[in-house]
Amino acid sequence: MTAAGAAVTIENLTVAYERHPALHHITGRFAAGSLTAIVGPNGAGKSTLIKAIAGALRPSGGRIERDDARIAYLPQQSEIERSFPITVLDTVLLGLWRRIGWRRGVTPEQSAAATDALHAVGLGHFEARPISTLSAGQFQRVLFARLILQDAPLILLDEPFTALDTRTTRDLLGLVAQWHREGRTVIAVLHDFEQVRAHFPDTLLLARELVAWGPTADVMTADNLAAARDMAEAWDEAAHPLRQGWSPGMIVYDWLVQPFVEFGFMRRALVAAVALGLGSGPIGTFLVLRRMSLMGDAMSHAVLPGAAIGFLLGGLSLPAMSLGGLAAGLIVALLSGIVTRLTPLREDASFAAFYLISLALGVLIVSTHGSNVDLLHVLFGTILAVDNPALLLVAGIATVTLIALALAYRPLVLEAFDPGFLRSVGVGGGGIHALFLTLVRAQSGRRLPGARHADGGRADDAAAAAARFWAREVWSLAAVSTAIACLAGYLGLLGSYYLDWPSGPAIILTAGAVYALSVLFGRRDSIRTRYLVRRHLAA
Amino acid sequence: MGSDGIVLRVAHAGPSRKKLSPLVRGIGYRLGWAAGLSALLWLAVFWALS
Repeated sequence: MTAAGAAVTIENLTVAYERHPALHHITGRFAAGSLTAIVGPNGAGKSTLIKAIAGALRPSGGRIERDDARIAYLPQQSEIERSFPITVLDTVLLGLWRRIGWRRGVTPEQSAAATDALHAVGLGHFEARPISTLSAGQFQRVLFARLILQDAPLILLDEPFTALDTRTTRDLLGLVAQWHREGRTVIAVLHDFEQVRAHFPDTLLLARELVAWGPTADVMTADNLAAARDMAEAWDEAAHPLRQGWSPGMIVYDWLVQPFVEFGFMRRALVAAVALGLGSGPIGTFLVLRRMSLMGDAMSHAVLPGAAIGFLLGGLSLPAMSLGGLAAGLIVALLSGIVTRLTPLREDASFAAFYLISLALGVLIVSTHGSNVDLLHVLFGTILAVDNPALLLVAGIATVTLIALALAYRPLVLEAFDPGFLRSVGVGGGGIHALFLTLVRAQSGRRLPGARHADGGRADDAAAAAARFWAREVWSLAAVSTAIACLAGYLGLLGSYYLDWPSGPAIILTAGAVYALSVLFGRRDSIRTRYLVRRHLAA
Repeated sequence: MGSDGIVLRVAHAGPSRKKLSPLVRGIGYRLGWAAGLSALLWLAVFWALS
């Protein structure tokens, strides 16, 4: 076993979470072979400091120098997945990582060393036990056995004795004392002041900044402890974020970008909104051009029975509900298409009928097999709840839609503009129409439950309508409509974040505001160009 | 410019390519756009999943 301890030098160390400093401007040195307790009030940055020394957190400022790269780190028990299917022996053998890495096997000698370590912590014959069957005390002994096997000159312990029985604590304190005798450097985060006074020669008292550091008797004075308590009470939980040089650019960044960098759910919602915009911008444009704006709405209701069945089978899972919705939407599109082709009934009328039937059917299915709360989830949901599989699905649908649009763009335009011509050149309008309905359906289906009509789904209709005041060709209408839908998604999410509004209404209202501005001030056919500019010319 | 001062337009017979809308441009152009936008979208997706 190695024995020589390693010194740790800290210079002006600041560590921040999301730019909120957890501890700042710490300077000092843990001497080689020292045994130091880190104490302080809750939230003082004790665990942050030990994680920074372990290399698990990167300093925001200053630096940490370790004499030796080999460390043995004991995390808090709460940070370990206790139900993980792994045996005691395998857990201890992980302590050999530096020697076996990710590819080498364990030699019999190493395996025997692990068994010896388990005996040293009083857990002989526990090798084959799954860790999930151990008590908190036994599990801590296993982790100490792993520390023994790591055989490092620097040992870092984060709350090693919290919630342990007296006997385990005594045994493990004995191990710590032995490491100290062997000359290793040991640093431990502790809460029990009596323990510190009895067993730790040195102490570092922390309250986000350094209060005192030195021999325990000098540090653990009533004055120092009172000072640490006072500093803790003065902490403002909403403290200003750490700024390294203030600038207007940083304020803009904080307001406009930070929410998306900081929170995964905001990022997923934003990308989902962009994906929705990319697909539904062009589709919404075609719907507006074909005077079928409300059809997207009808479609998003038509998918309800399938979504409901998906919900009953797969719970509140976007893929299950979307696949169900996809099937239901295709059936409705097919049936209403057949009715339109075979009878004089116009498409919108047949859709209206199928939409009502589907809506009622969906409500019936959810109500008889779920609850009103479930129904609300199926009907509305929130784009902020988009998870990883849902995001992949939404992006996948957007990609397929874009490629389908690229392939069939010309026939789609012709079918909307001059279907007779399309048929005259030998292209069947029925197939193109069916493709279009499928694309519309795909857009509606993915509104479940992430962005249904209460939640961004209608934003693309407002965007497509607004685009008519800015562009005058199909492609530019689609481009402007997509841009407006994406912008509405972004601004709506920001509004929802800062004003605590539901995301759906926030996104739709943003798109609505863009629509209102377009009606008033747009480049083409707006109130401004039709009335104000003309009056100006006449004057 | 010719010797009589009349601008000769021979180099660009037919409509300028720039004025062609996606409606009349070929499938490669449109697929390029779709692929480009999709690629950007997937970059954003990987950013969101990171």
